[in-house]
Amino acid sequence: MAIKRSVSFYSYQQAYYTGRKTLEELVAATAQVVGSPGVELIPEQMPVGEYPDPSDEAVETWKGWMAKYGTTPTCMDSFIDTMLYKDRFLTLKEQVGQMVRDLKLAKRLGFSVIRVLCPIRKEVVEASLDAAAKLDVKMGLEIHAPMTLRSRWTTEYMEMVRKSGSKHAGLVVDFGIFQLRPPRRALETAKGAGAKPEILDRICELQETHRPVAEMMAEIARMGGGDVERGVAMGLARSLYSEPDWMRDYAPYLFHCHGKFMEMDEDCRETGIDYETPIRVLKEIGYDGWISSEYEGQRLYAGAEEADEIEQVRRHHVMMRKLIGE
Amino acid sequence: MYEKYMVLKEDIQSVVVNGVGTGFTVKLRIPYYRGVCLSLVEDIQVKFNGRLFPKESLTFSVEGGTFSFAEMATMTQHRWEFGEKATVFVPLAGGIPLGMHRVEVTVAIRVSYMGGARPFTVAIDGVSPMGG
Repeated sequence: MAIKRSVSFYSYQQAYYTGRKTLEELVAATAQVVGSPGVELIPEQMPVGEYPDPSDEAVETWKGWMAKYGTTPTCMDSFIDTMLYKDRFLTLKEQVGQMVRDLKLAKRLGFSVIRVLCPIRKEVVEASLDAAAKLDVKMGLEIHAPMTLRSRWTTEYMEMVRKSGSKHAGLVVDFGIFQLRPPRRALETAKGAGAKPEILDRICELQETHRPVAEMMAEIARMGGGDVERGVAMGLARSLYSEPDWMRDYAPYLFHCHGKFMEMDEDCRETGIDYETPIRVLKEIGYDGWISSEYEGQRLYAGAEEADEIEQVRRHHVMMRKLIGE
Repeated sequence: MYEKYMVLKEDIQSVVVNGVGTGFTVKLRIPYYRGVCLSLVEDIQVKFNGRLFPKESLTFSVEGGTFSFAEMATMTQHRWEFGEKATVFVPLAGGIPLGMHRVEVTVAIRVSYMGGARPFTVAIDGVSPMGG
């Protein structure tokens, strides 16, 4: 068994939002252009029929696409709107209701894992364990910066999971926790806006050694930087780093990975996030789940120029094939 | 993405009923990366040349129907989907007058994991009664 490649359709949000591509066209591009066997979906972003209760016909159509394009559903991304109403938070029971609703939808669409959004309380997952077991769909709490693999939120959640003995609760790791530098494009934009290259170099140096943003701010002030340099540092404020080795603590509980990326260069290298070390660690611990490309670089573009989402995802898969050793 | 695509200039149109301008409509895509229940639309405001039309004065149409904001507050089955163009009706008596105008639209979606709503505003200049 080996690590398997997937694409989160989050990557294609601009193509879908603007109406340039339909869901089926994106499945086709994933199979034919990217060459990815796995598909991850946010059904509240690109619904199969209707969210949360698609018709049987819509589900059949979806399954038909999976068969036609030779793709497999990997992970479905769940949200829980705890602030559904203006004047109160949802109760635990109501939140569990939303979780179960998503577990059922995942089952119908053929997903074996759902991503649980990182701020969801462990009590909600705990109270959903029976439903997850009955449906045989796993719940993976997403470890997403600024959360780390060793945050108290993570360790307390994992304590609950271990104590429960359940095989249906675990983690989804977002590779944004392995970010070492700002994406190349962010640095170029800053240079274009007058940032001093030596200050940007210093920011990168501090980020690579996981220094806090407050220290970057002090350095920027000392070196005579201004708003542009401070903007680059602020862009890193939520990028709290996790050591890839920390994944070893949770080997049996790693259900899925989000291959978060911001920019793939012409040589198919991610310009800011480490992939080599985490993939090496995953191999060493025998991870045989999926890594879904999750492109988020659309926001680095302003004006007329736009990201080529499918090309970025294609490059990401060239890199993943190499690192996985396909 | 939302700066560029939430409102398109050509999607601002006068509404004329029996030869009388009753207002104008603005088509809006959601400034968020997923669709939401209508109860999560915390606020929408439209300014026409600086004149404010608060949410109470507007109606909001999506595939499921046309609603007031008071109605939307309790609507958890109807959704505004990602990429779907909702239509907001703004009761500007007479419709859009001759000339070029500025339309500003603010949308605030309540995002639970952010702890609340963050208003997002787009301004469109050069709006004319001929559309666009």
